[in-house]
Amino acid sequence: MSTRGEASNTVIPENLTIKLIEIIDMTGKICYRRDCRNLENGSLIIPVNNLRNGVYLMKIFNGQQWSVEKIIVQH
Amino acid sequence: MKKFITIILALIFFITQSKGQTSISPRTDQEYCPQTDISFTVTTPGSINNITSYSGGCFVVSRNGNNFVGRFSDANLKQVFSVEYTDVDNTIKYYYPEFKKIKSLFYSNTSCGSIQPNLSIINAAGCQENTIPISFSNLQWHTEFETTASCFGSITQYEYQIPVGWKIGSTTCMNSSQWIAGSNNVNIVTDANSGDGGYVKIRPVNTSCGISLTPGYNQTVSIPIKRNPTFTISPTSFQVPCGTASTKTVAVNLSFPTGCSVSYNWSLSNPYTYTYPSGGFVPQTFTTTSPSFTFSTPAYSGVLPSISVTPVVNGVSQPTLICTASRTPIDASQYPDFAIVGPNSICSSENYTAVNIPTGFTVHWYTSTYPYGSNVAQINSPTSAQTSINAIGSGVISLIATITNQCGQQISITKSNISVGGGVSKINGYFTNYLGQYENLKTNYDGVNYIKPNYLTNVVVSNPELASATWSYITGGYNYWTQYQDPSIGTVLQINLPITNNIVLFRLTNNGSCGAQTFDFLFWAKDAPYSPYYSLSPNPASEVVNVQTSPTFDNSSSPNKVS
Repeated sequence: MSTRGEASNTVIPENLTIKLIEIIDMTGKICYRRDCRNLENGSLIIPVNNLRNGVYLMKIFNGQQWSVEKIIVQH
Repeated sequence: MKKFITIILALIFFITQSKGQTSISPRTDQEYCPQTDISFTVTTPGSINNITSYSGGCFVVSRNGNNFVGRFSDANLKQVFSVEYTDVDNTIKYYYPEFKKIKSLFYSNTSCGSIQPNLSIINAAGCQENTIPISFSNLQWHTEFETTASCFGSITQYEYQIPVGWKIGSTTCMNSSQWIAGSNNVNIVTDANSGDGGYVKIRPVNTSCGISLTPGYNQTVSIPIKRNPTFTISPTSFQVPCGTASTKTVAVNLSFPTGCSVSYNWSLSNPYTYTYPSGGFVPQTFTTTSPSFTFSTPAYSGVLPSISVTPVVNGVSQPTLICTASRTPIDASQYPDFAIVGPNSICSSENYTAVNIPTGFTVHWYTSTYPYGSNVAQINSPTSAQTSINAIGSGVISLIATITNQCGQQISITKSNISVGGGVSKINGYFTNYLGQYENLKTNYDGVNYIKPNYLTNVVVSNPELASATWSYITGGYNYWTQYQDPSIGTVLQINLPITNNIVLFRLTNNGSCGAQTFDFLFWAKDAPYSPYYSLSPNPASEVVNVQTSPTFDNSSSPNKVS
């Protein structure tokens, strides 16, 4: 399933505030980290092609608190 | 005593006789014009000393003995003279003749009626002269300031204000402030076109008493004038069932006739759909002098064009009128026998049949789209009445059969909750908070389950086709976990997580109708997991993930599956 075309057209809503994104694996290792403080409005696309198949957690910090989302990488 | 009674009776007789001898001629109950000299003769028992105005504005013009000339003011109220005379007993006495019937229009009062013409609006055809008869009942005169309505006589003179160029009888209105005399029954003759938006005004007058008297300003009525008709279309919409060819007539109606030349510019939203009853397609635009248009609708076209028409009066376009056309809607209740027949679960492949498809309809199969659809089920014959569906993953889908008639109208029926490839497993959870109250397990958009740290949370598996379920710990920190079988709710996972923002992964193994399936559930120990939330797509992902705000927060059951 390829959704890259959709993803590249996605506009981040103005009220979406993302300061920092981390992807961690199930052992707690940080596999990806991105400082988003200078992010301009537009698509926020995180590459996962370097990650191995498995379950990961995407932790998103909005400047005040963390949220966590589950992401499955399946090549 | 007898002498005293005789004196009293004589005195009463004398007084009565004295009163009965005062009179005035003409009498007080006659109608009088204001501002007009009137000769009166007063009769009294003795000699008259003086005659003066007493009230109401009347006055004495001249006097000669018992005769005087009086004049009433232009006011319809009681007017009284005062007659001073020396009675036979040599006493000074007064006589006050009261006149209430003064034909003045100074004061208006609807208690004695108002002008109610036979027309509330004058619709006068344009481009021609029209004779408009106006009539109404005569008003009565009245006297103001009486305790009860004092109406008398009949007002027979009126004035009309009409548009310049219009006529009453032989009098043509020359300016807009001109008033033309008439009765309560006149014929107004219009000119060809003027007056639209104006008024015909009518007021009572008493010019027979004098030309400078006050007319009945406050009793003036206004009748609005309309020279151009209002156009309406009939019908404003129509529907034709698919499969039916129908002859329709759309007509423009005029609120009143006109003498002007009128043409009608017709326009269809689509060409080459309607036909003339005599044959041939109706073009997209055309002009008629007839206010109606008859045509035939096709039996099977998907779209029926709307019809608009613009009346043109003497070259001036009027507002466009629209008649909308559509197919008569259809719905599933019209075809109650149309149904999907097939099993409620698909382990590898199953057949589904759309039965009782109405004649002339075609069928198309679809699956639900989120979270499970074509990603777990493959439709092999999407346009056949019977199709096989293969399980290519696990989930719960809805199967949709959509039938379409020759006009493109569609009806869909849905068979829901079809378990594919073992289905999904859902969990519900709860814990008891410090107040002793149950709180539900909270689950975010992507299926992460939030556990309140250091509270023992019970997680229940809710899978309707589940034969057995077993939890196993995979990774992450915990204070405590166990599982047990509850006879009423099945397998229960009990977990207690530390407060350190900890995440733990448990795996659920289900044995259902399609064999063993595993499902991974994430639990995150967090106190306030409520805001903000984000959704990730695609998920699963192979190369990139797009991050968006999540539209909803789902705190109900949590479907979850990891391949």
